[in-house]
Amino acid sequence: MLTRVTRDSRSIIAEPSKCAGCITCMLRCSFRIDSKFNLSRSRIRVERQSGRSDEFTVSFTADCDACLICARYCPYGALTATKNESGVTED
Amino acid sequence: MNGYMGKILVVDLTKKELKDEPLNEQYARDFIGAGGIACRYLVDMTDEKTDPLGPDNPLIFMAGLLTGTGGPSFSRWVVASRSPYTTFYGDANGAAHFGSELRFSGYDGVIVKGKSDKPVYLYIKDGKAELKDAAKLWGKNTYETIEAIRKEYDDQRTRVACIGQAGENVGLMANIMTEDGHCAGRAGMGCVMGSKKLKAIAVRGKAKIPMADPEKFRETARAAMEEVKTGFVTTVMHDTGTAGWVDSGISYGDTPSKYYTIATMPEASDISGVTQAEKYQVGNTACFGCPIGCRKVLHIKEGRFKTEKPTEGPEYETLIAWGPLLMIADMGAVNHFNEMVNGYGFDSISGGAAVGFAYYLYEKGVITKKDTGGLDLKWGDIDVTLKLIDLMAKNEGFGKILQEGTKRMAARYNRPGEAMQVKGLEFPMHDPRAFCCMGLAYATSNRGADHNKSDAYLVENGMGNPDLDLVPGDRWGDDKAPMVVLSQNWRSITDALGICHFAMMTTQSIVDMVNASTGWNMDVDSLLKAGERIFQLMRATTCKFGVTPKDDQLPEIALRPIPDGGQEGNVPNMAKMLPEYYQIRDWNKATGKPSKARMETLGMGALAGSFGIK
Repeated sequence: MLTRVTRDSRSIIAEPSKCAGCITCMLRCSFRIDSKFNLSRSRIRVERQSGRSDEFTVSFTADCDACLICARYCPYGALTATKNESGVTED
Repeated sequence: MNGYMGKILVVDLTKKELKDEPLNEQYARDFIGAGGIACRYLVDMTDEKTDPLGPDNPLIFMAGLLTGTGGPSFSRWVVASRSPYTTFYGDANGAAHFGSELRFSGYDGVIVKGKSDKPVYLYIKDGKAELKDAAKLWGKNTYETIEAIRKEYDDQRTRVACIGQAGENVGLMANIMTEDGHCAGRAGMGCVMGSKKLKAIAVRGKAKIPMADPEKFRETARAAMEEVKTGFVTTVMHDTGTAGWVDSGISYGDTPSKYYTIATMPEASDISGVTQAEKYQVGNTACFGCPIGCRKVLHIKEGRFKTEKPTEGPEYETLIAWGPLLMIADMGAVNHFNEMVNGYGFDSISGGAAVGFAYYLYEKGVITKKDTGGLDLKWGDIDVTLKLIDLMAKNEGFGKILQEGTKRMAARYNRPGEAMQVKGLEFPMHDPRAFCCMGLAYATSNRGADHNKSDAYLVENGMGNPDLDLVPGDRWGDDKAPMVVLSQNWRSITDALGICHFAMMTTQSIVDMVNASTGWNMDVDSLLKAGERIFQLMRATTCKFGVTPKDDQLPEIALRPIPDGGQEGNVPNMAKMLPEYYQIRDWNKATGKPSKARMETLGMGALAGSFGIK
């Protein structure tokens, strides 16, 4: 299931099926906010689904400003950054 | 203290006391992290009389210096103790997310001493630790244990290191598992944990790792991440995982079959990384901060061992130890063995090797059904292998004999020289007759034969370190002593830092990240010197626990040439390489211990006396 965040003309679309759970996105996000690696401050959240699954959910907090850093750093192509003309609100 | 959380949790299970202690700064400075620091504490807390299964043997968990920071694949951690399996120095190296979360929970490490009278688990959150009743967890396999703890706290990001039934039953080769099939596999660390009735350690936290120069760190980490992401090793590891080695292993004769007695069985390609990627792989998972994602997710959709849903598949070692080593090449079966062995929680390398040795002895008539509890041990028999795994988990009957390992089996059945082990730890699935450097690496590794304290065979394949001149040579050469020494020093330091071996980045970027994190002023030479210091400390420790030069020998079975296949009849020239190695290491020929002069050069002169080094 795709999740998405949109702010102004920027969007990030997450494809959890491609996520490998490395949480590099969370590290990069928290460092930008805090100048320290601190996962609890990250505005992108990767969680393993319960039941010993190898699947992850990816979500964005309300204060995510779609700076696109997570998408830039994801090594697995699970996050796509796009420019969006219409300014549609979050799914 | 920049670079470190600066705190160790000391747990006394006998007194049920938990205490925070500051991380010894000098130990951190000299021994860097993970196994280096753990060994240094172990030296303080043990002597030659310490019973590995007694309350005085500590179990020490320690994260790497860089673990949990934002560099590529900085995920690793170590657990160390006196090994009940080998009786010498033992440690095991784990990854996934436990080490990073341990630091986020506020600690660089946990030292567990004493013994609990009933099953407990340790829960650490945001700098607060508690011992909790583990009655409901006792008897669960490692997968169930992890899930149960996460459910209890309704938190999928609680990270857990635990034992399965094998550890609960104090099986000598029991290991410690973390989420989804990641292990700290070797040397019986789970046996120590089970002997203390400690079922699990669960960690969770929000602490930040303090850094001297976070901007410089971030800049260097970003470049290093890019370097690792685009490297050729990453592509191979991502696409085919460690199982990708099988095809090379077949052509080199590196992948053993039929308990190391024949050239690699050609059917091994049915379970190779390439075959898996084509037929069974549905995805990858990654450790903390890792762009490689070498862990494969497999879905076996048909056959007797079809899986209900995708699960993490076997690594190369398990694939071979429970596969061609036993003359089995059925992917479904080996995948199932992997699930069972991980669930029960025992070393898949030593376990498969012990079963292989049993098949070998049975074929020769050395053991019979009377010894095996009525089981007919035929090469390639999947059903018998399943029964043996269950018996090993219970640590009963013939299963107990297998749990004791091949060195004890060879003594019991009077077949000295035929167990493929050094110091009581079984060879991994890389044959020293394919890469002679590994003969030396197995003979001299501090915890016994292992392919990670020096991954010299990978150096021979371009996965060394060109900055240090760790580059490929002639795989059957006998001039390997300097290369193996350097490879061991290099791995001692990368392990202490918590870096995965598959993450290939420039040495200078590692130095820069260490300095940016800690505020130190290291360079490549001082980093390597620290690596040597750690290695020699572990050597002195393992000698204190009883290792002598006779324990640095390869068994006779490792020196029998196999003329066909990739080995082409070669064997390692130990008579030349070992004395050269001893000279470079400055080890005493009679005692095997590092010389006093070497200890002093490495800044350990004050410790020399405690090791009986004069």
